[in-house]
Amino acid sequence: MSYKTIDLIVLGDTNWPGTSIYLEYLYRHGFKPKKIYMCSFYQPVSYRNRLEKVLYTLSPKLYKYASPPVIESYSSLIQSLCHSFQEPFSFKIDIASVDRKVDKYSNIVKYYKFWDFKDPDLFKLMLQDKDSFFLYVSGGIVPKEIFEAGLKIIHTHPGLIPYTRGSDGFLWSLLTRGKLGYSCFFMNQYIDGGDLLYQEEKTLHDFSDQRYLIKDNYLDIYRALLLSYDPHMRAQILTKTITQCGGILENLQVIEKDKNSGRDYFRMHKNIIKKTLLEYL
Amino acid sequence: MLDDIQTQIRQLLEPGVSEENIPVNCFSTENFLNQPRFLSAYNQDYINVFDQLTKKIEVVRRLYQFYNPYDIKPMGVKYVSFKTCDLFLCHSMCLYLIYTDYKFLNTILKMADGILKSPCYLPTPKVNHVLDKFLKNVL
Repeated sequence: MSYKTIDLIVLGDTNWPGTSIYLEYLYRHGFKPKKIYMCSFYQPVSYRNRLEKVLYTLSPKLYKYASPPVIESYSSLIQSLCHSFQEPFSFKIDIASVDRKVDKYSNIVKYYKFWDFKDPDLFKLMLQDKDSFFLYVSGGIVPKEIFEAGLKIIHTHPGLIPYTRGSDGFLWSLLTRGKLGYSCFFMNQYIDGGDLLYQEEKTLHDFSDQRYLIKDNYLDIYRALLLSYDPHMRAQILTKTITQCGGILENLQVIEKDKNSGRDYFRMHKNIIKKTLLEYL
Repeated sequence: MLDDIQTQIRQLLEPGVSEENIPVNCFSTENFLNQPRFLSAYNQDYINVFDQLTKKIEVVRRLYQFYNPYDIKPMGVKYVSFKTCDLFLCHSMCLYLIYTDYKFLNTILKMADGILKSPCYLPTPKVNHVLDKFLKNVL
């Protein structure tokens, strides 16, 4: 199979399994991003022992480069749920795997350590490819300077924008519209407020065999859905967006959206998470 | 249930507080929540403003007495009273019961958990009693 190199730089997150899912979908559709930057994001005070604390106090910059990355660990229940939630898809990834090799997905793969998206080193790196398109795979706030510099960042959101903006879009979509919604858009300084490229509503697959776990493990179920099921759906939306323009990202068409509609949703309270899962899983 | 909450709101309303007391070019949270005319009908304008206050609670976990009406940024450093928080909670319960808008229920649950940092608010016993009944009903 021949692969088309697209003018896209993926800002991957080594700690988030969704990165591999995005890349695998692009690869299976014949696309290879121009570059992949695999980023280990650090929280400034996530030291694990006294030595790290001393090191951080003496030099935050040295700490960043001297400390090994934090590897997320998942309970066996979450791992098994992630496996089940990936049943509907043509491939599965092991969320517990620390060996996430992405070399085959692009001719240029580089590994970096950053505090978070506010790290000036990341900003400098992005400015080197100012005219390219970036794919932002993880969550969190992107600083305003990045947009002010005119960088074009593509993102997918688990909700139809503008109707379901903000946190926990996956569950808010289910609760308020009875369906999942996914949107692909150019980010701007407002939360899920940029130019819309593509969106679709989807029905949640049948996972009723896991319902018996909701009573005691609803938070694990939600976490597993976000770690495994949601990235597949997001990656499908991204791939459709890129396929529509034949991989030529300059040709991406912006869809008009109703600017006066929609609401910001906030992190969902655990009781409503449970209620939503009981109603829709 | 709705009647119980509306009765509670009537008891919380501060007599004498009216729109005329709002300082010029300043949005007063307490005056806004103390307007009795909204008890009979919450119009869309009211809900939009209420939504902005909900955002303050969810994002910054603080509710100030005064805001700039243009950019909804806090004016001054005074936080609202516990009574106003009780009022906000009761209005949220009413709004949820009327519109079944889960966004309001979300904020109600978080306020019941003590999300507000300033003031460090938990519902007073009377309101807590209404809240317990409400949550039993809706969850």
